[in-house]
Amino acid sequence: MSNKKPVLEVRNLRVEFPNRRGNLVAVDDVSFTVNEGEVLGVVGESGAGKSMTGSAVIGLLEPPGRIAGGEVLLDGERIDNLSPEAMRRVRGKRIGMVFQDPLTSLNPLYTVGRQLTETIQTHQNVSDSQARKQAIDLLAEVGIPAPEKRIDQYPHQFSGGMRQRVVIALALCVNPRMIIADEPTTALDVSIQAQIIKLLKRLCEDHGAAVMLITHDMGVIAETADRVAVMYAGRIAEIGPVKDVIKNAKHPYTKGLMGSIPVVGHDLERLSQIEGSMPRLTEIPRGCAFNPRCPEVFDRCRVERPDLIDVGTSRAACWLHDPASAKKTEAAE
Amino acid sequence: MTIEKPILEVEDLSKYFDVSAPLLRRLVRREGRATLRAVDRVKFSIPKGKTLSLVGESGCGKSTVARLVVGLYEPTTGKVVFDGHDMAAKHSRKEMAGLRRRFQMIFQDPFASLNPRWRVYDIIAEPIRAHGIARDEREISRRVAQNLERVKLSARDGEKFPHEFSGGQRQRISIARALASEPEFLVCDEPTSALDVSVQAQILNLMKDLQRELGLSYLFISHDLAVVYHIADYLGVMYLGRLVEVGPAREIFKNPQHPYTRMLLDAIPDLEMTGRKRIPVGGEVPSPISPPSGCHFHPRCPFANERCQREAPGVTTLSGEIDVRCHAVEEGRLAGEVEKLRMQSSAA
Amino acid sequence: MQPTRTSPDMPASSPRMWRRFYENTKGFFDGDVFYSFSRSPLTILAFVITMAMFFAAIFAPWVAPYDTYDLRSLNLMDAYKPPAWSPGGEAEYLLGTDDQGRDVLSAIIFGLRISLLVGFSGVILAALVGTIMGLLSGYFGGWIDAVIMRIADVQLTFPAILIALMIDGIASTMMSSQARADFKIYVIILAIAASLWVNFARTVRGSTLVEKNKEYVQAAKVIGIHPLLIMIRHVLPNVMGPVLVIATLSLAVAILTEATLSFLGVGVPPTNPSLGTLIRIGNDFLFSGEWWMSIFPGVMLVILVLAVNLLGDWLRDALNPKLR
Repeated sequence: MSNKKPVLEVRNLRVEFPNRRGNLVAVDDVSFTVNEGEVLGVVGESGAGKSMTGSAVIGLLEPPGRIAGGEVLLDGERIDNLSPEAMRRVRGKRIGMVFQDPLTSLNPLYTVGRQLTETIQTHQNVSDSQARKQAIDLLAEVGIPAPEKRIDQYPHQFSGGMRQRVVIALALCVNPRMIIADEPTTALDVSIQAQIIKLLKRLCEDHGAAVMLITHDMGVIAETADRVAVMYAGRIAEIGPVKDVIKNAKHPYTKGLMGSIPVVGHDLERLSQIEGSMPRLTEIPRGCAFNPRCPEVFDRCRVERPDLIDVGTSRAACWLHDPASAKKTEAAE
Repeated sequence: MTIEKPILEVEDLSKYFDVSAPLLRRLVRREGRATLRAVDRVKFSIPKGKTLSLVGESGCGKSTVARLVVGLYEPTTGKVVFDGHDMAAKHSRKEMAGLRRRFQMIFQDPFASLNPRWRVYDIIAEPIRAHGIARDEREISRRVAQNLERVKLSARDGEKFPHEFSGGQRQRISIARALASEPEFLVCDEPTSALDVSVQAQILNLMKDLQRELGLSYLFISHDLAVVYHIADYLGVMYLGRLVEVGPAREIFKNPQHPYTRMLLDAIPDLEMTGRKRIPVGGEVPSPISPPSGCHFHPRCPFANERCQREAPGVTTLSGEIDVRCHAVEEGRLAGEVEKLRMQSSAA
Repeated sequence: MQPTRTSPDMPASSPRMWRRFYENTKGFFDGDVFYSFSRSPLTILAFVITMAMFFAAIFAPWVAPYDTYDLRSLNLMDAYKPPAWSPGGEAEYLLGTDDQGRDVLSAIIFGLRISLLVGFSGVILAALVGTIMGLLSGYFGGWIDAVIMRIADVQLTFPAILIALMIDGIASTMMSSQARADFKIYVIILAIAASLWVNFARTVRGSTLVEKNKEYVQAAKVIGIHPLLIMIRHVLPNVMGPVLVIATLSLAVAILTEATLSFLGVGVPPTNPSLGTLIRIGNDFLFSGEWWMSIFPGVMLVILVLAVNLLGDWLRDALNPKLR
């Protein structure tokens, strides 16, 4: 991992929503890196701040939301303090985006081909016929059958899965360093979902781009991601290689989350469940945000907020893994 | 199925929707009327105290079946028999009223399924009042409290409005409302698909507990096979309006017959990260307005032949009480061809 | 639970009712609507002006310096007095007097009363008819929808003035002139309602089409609630938001329509003058220099309509979640 260059670095990111009753902190002290050719999964339940993190990185936070602290670096260069105009250029040129609803990313009035060639020509100085050829190649690459015919069709003539492929082609046509995919498979049927996952993974390998995959679906993460960050109440609860996080979770929240997912072949009378629900942004508890729901909670969790602590290959924000509190847990056992 | 007396039997059930363009446009373009066969001759039954799950991708008609069963739609053909009563034969509201309190429905969207202007108390009291289960206000309030506690909410939550609750809590309120008329049978239309996984686990556990305590039967609509594996006793797989495979859930999961069922099972993300060999999934669901000829699945089916394009397959009943609609299964050539394909894909 | 016996006419929910009232009131002042109100000075100003006018109109006999209906108090010697600050003006008659010696300020306050009464009645009638029609049309669809919406289309082609003239014309052939004068105010209310109900019907129909497909309505159907009850108890409360907005904006239109009709002479009779009637009467004297008789009622009308419109605009934005 160390031999690969980090493409995206996020350091101590904090996103706030000023509101009349105070400041809501939607993302708090989030740090991670995504390396070349790597897929980082960002997973969490609704309200965890995963989409907000994605929007903050690409400078598309909806007002009144704003970055209140920390830095975002793309290839070592800060992009969180750029002007909206400069940020738009970065988005067009170096970051590709794939959203949940492909229709919002495509203009219904233009043919797919026109949208692709326009994007290609704004970033490369190529002739119309060359741009068109590139567009056809891209459509073929994302697995659209008969691309020379379909390039002249409008978005509504494509099915949901095919539209998402077009969006991916659109994201790829500038050869971006970084692709941010926010719930790219959520609106799709299960069989299409599997196809899009495979496509994303293959493209990431072929193009050497870094991918930040935001989703609520652990299954998608397991199939696609190299590393995964689990978010809870605006913070990262655990981050590490996907296999470790899924099979050997360190944070009690991740453990609970994994246990609550039904799996074909596991005969259980009851799923293990986490009591309660994610706190609203207005009522995040003191100490560790997870402490009221945590089965392994102890005194320190209620007063002090844990930072990420190295545990083997992953890092978890949990006092259980702090050497100072190790004695306590031993005593409890 | 030679089982104890079923709570629900559905026979030859169909629902066609008229999706024609307006008359003038049809005349201009010289088009005929268009019908959408949302549900096409579906047959299944649910034994008392058990759960039958219908799965399939969007447009397969599973939600339409749910709405037909509870009477939100009138069937085009066939009948729905609830505990021995043919529902189509009950015409007057009075005749239906006696049956209506015995089945209820839980919906998918926890944000749309509760009237935003009503307090939770009134939402849950509505079926109690409507069916005259209790007339005295104190008895009503006792029952509302009882149902709230059944779904692990407190009686004091009755004073709040739906927007004060999270998605999972709202789904509990939906369940409490459904239970208020003391039904024996619940139709659940994707009750957990709008919820987060940890909340989904809470709701699934709750539903299983309630089934055990109250002896409920469920018709459980879902697109998530893992959820279905967890909750269903019987499984029906739908594709473009047709029920392609139905039978005991464990049998089908262990030994899926219809190529579409196999495909769905192979599309489940591998959370265990075992790296098991899977036949890659291809194609997309065609438009249900103009489904493919013969067996609707043939354009995506790796085992389709000329007969599959031509004629729609009939029902083949296999051992283990599984009904399958597939020519390859009927002809007994499926097992061999699956093996061949496996060999090919692992060689490649 | 205390073992209190509750009689049927005193439901057990009575204390609950009070608690709910308290919570509702508290909820309103904590809510977003009140917040957006308190942050908009223009809206507060509009609200204060509207309320002041309502107050003046309702308590006109106590607020107005003179009772303009009391013919005995009129003195032709006091006629044509200019406003108090002009040469020849008297402090007794702040805004001057008219050709009959009536105090203009008092006439305006009493006129406001008639204008608001006609405007309110017209809008309430229109909202009532429009909401019922829209609900029926949207909920049942089919031929009911087709019939109601075609009637609405036809209605839109007749302006209120035409309807008022038509009803007035029919009435004139059937009634004595005395009965007609008494009847006129109802004619105007009817004409205003007839021209405004279509807006309500169309909006309510649209919202009903959305609401009726929501799952809570389906849930009520599965429970077996009668369609009419579903319409009243479930759909109606959820389509009332836009009705409130349209009602406010329509009030301004209704007041203007009434003024127009009165100005044209088909409105309320001069014995019972509204703002529009006052403007018409004053209009006759405008060029002979007695400008105050029509200008002051005119200014009043403009302020009232502007204030109500501002309130309506704010309400529309505050209740529209997309604009927030």
